[in-house]
Amino acid sequence: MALIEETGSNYYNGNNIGGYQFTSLQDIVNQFMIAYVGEDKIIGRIKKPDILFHAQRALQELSFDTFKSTKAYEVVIPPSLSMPLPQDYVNYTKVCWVDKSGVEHRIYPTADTSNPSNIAQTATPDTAPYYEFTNNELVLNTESDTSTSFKNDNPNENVVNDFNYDDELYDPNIGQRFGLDPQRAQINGSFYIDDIRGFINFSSNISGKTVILKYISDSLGTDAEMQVHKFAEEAMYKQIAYAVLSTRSNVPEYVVARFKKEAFASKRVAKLRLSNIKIEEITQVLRGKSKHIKH
Amino acid sequence: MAISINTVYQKVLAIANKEQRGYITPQEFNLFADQAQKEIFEQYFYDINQFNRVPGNSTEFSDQLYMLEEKISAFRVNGVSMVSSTELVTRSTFEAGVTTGWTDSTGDNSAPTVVTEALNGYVPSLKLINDGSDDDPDIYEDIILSTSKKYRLKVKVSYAVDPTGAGDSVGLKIQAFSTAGTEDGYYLLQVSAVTGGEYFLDFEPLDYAGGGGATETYRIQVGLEEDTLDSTIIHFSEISVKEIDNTTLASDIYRLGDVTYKNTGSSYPIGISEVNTAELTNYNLSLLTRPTVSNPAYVRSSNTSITIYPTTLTSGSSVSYNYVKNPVSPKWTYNVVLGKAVYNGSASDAKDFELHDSEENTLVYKILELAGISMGRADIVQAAATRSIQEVQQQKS
Repeated sequence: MALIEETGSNYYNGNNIGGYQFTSLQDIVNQFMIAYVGEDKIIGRIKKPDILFHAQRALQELSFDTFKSTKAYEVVIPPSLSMPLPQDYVNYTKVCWVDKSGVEHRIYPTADTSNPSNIAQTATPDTAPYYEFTNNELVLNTESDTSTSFKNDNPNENVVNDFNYDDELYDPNIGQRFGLDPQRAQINGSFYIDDIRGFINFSSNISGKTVILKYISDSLGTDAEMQVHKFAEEAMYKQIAYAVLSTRSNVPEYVVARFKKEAFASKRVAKLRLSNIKIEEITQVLRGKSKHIKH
Repeated sequence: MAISINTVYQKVLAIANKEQRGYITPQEFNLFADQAQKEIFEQYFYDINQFNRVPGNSTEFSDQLYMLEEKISAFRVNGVSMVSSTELVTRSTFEAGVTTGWTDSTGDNSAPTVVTEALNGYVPSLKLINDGSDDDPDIYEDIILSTSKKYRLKVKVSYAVDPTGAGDSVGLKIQAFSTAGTEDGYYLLQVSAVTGGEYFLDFEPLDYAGGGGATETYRIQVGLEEDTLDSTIIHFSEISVKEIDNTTLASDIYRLGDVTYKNTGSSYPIGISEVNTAELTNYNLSLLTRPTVSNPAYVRSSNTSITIYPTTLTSGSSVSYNYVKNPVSPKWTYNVVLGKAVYNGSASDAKDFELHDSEENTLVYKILELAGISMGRADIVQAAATRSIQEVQQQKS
C-alpha cells in the first residue's frame, strides 16, 4: 500500500528529486476512472478521451491561478532591447533585472508606447495611392517608428535628482499640477509586450542587463510538466467531475450544483494550501506591525 | 466442467418418448443442441446488464452477477497478443517426409523426421531425438524480418519424453537471433517441455550492424537442450513465426473485452479506449483529446481486427486484449450398430456442451422445445416452454 517504491539510493542518485510532491496527470486520470466512473458510481460510463479533455482543461485552469508559478527565464538583454517570449508562455508574473548582488529589481510595464505595424508609404504620401504594395499586398516596414523612438530614448526616470515634472508654476497654482506618477517613480526601466510578434521590448536603460522573466504556462507543454501538486489533487478530481457532469445530459441539476460547490471549495482549499503560509513566518512578519509600512 | 452431450441426448429422447413418436435423429439433435447452447450463452450478457441494475447480495454462491461471471469464465481468454495470420516461416506444420525450409542441425543425432503416431495424437510432427554425442539436436530457418516490428515465435509440442526417469525433464530451447551475431538482439526461451505444451517467444529484431537497416536476417532455432545423451524425444506439431501486428484478433472471438497497452518502462498496462470512426475524427481535431502514445484509442475495423491510434506505438510497448470466445458447437457422434446409432464419445470430432454444469436442465428444456416444434408436437413444446419459464422465474424473481 505504501506509495514509495523507489529505494533511497535510486532516489538520491536519480533525476526525480522532489518529485513526491507531485502526481502525474496520467495518474490523476487513471485514478479518476477508478473512483468516479463505473457501475454504481457518479459517472456510469464515459470514454477516456473525454476525461482527458476535462483533465487537461482543469490542469490549465489551476495552472493559471492556483498552482505556484515556477517557470522563469534569465537572459541578458541585447542592444535590440527585445526578448522573444518563451515557447510555452501564457502570461508573466514578474519581470525584473538582477544587480550584481543577485537582487531582483522589478521592471514595470508601460502602456504609453507600442509597436504598431509600420506601413510603407509612397514617396509622396499626401497623394494617392498613399501606400506601397507588392503583389497587391501592403508593404510593412520591419519596425515601427514608435518602437524605434522608444528604444532610442533616454528615459526621464534616469534623472534621479532634481527632476522637475512641471517647471511652470502656473499649473499648480490653478490646481492642474499632478503629482508624482507612482508607476514611473522608479529607475528600474519599463517594458511592453508585443503580443502580435511575440516579443518583450524593454526601455533603453535595460540594455545589457540580466533580466528574469517569471511566467506561467498551462502545464500542458510537455509530458513531464503535466503534473499536479498533491495539495491540488482533490481539486483536480472535483473539477473534472464537475466539468463532466455539467456537460452531460440527463444529470440531475442538484448533482451538478453539488459538484460545482465541491469543485469551488476544493479549489479554494488548494489555493490556500499552495499559498504556503507558515504560522512562524507570518508571525515574524507581523512583529513589525507597529512600524510604518514601507515600500 | 462440461455437460455430457450423451446425457442430454438421452434425457431429451426419454422425455420426448422416443419409442413412440418422439425420436430425434442425431443430426437433428446436433442442430438443436447448437441452437440451444447459443441461445443460453447469448442470454448471459443481457442478464448481466439486467442484474447490474438490481441490488445484489454478498452471499458466497448465490449472487446473480457472481453466478453469471462463473458461467462465462469458461469462455474467457485473457492477455492475448494480436498476432497476424500471415505465416513467416516456410513450413509451420508438417507432413510426412517434408521438412522444407528447416535446416538440419542435429549433429550426430538422428536426422529430424516427420512422424504421425498415437504418441503425438496422430498429428504430423517433426521429431528430434537426443541419441548422439551432440547433446542438443535442433533445426533452424533464417528469415528476413523488419527491425521496426515485433514477432512471436510459437512452438507446439505434441509429444515429449525423457526416458531416463521422472526426475529428468525434456529441455526445450527456443532461440531467435541475428545471423550477424548474438551479442545483441538475442532472444532465448529455455523451458521444460511437456506433451501438449505451447511455448511463446516474443522478440523485436535488432539492426545488428547499427547502420539503420530496415530489415535483418534472423535465425529461428528450435531444439532440445540436454546435458547428456539420454535419448530424449520431442515432437513439434507447429513451429510458427508471425508478426505481432496489434491489429488481428482471434478467429474464435465472440465479444471483445478490454484492450490494454503497456508502455515501455511501465509496470502495469492501461486500458485503450474504444471509439468509433466518427468520434475519432472529432477527437483528432483537438490537441487535448487526440490519441497519444500515453493514451491510445482503437477503432473496430472488422469483427476480427482493430486499428490502434496512434498507429506507431513506442518500441518495447505491448498490446493485449481479453475476449469471450465463441462456444464450440456440440456434436453427438455415433457408430451404427445393428441399424441403430450408438454413442461414440471417443470420436475425434465428438464435442460435449461447453456450458456450465448448472445449465443441463435448461439445455434439455430448450432442445425439447425446438424438437417439439420440429416434430409438430404442441404438447412437447408447451411442456418444455412451461418448465423453461418456471425455471427462469425461479432464478430471476
